[in-house]
Amino acid sequence: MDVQSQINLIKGKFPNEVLENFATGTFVNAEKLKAICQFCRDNEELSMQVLTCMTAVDLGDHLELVYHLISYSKKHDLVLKVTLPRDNAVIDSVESVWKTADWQERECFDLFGVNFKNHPDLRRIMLPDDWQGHPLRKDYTPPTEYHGMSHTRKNPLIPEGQSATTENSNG
Amino acid sequence: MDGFLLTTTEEFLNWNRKSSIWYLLFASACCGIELMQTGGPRTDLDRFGAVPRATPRQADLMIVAGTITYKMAERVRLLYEQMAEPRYVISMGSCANCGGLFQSSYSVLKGVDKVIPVDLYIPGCPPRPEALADAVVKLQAKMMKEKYLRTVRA
Repeated sequence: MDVQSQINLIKGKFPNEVLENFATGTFVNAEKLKAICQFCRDNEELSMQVLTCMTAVDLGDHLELVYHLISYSKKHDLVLKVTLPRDNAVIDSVESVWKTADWQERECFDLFGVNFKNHPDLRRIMLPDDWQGHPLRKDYTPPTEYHGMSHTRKNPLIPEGQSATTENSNG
Repeated sequence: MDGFLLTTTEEFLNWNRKSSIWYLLFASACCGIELMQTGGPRTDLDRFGAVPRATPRQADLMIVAGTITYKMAERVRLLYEQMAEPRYVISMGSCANCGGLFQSSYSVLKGVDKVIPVDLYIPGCPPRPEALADAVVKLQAKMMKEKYLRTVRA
């Protein structure tokens, strides 16, 4: 089934929740994301058995969550996106729809600080538990040390007196 | 008697030590692949008496092969502390030396010498097995120069 017919199918069930389209999918209302996901999985014609990828993008003024769904039986795929405010990024967990969302949402929480409501075990998955901040946010400033381990190292090729350390910068 | 050997106790002990450098079977990134190669038939660390051990309690040498993140750094320090003295560390590859390719990352330790003392640094990304074998030979030379009886605690 092509993307447009998939979107129309969702639109039939959720007429007001499907927002603008793009080539591979559609934006949906963040409030209704979980219900839409449930529909995508359970609907006979959509049969989205798998959430292959769930991630976030920090676009500066807001966050965008991206859900890649695929169906093995129907051999089609769809991308759902939602936008969230940066200062209050809260959304329903889809862990009860696809079990695989558990760790993917934990990663998203770890790196972007998105809070997933009703997630069974929302804690950091890669960084240490006591890490401060969410590194993939655009306004993240890395700490200068972690447990006494400094984040800087002197560059031996640059003589004394000049700013000669490798620091956490974008350079 | 056809022949005889003369040596000092110290030299004999050092010869024994350098002929059985047991290294910790530990790798944290792609340098680990080269570490495995070094144990393979071409460079064959076994011929120096260097064999991998699966526990730090039996290891004399830790080869830090790969990127160390801050989360891992504390485990590396723990593993090092679990090794019996005298113990040696080879920092293998750019990542272990200084953070390497990933030194601008927020989560990567900028050189393993920030958490444990390092005896030998091998440059390279990753170093070739020959380079690691050479490091083991250099470590043997270092061991031979040590005053083992005076440094080790009874």
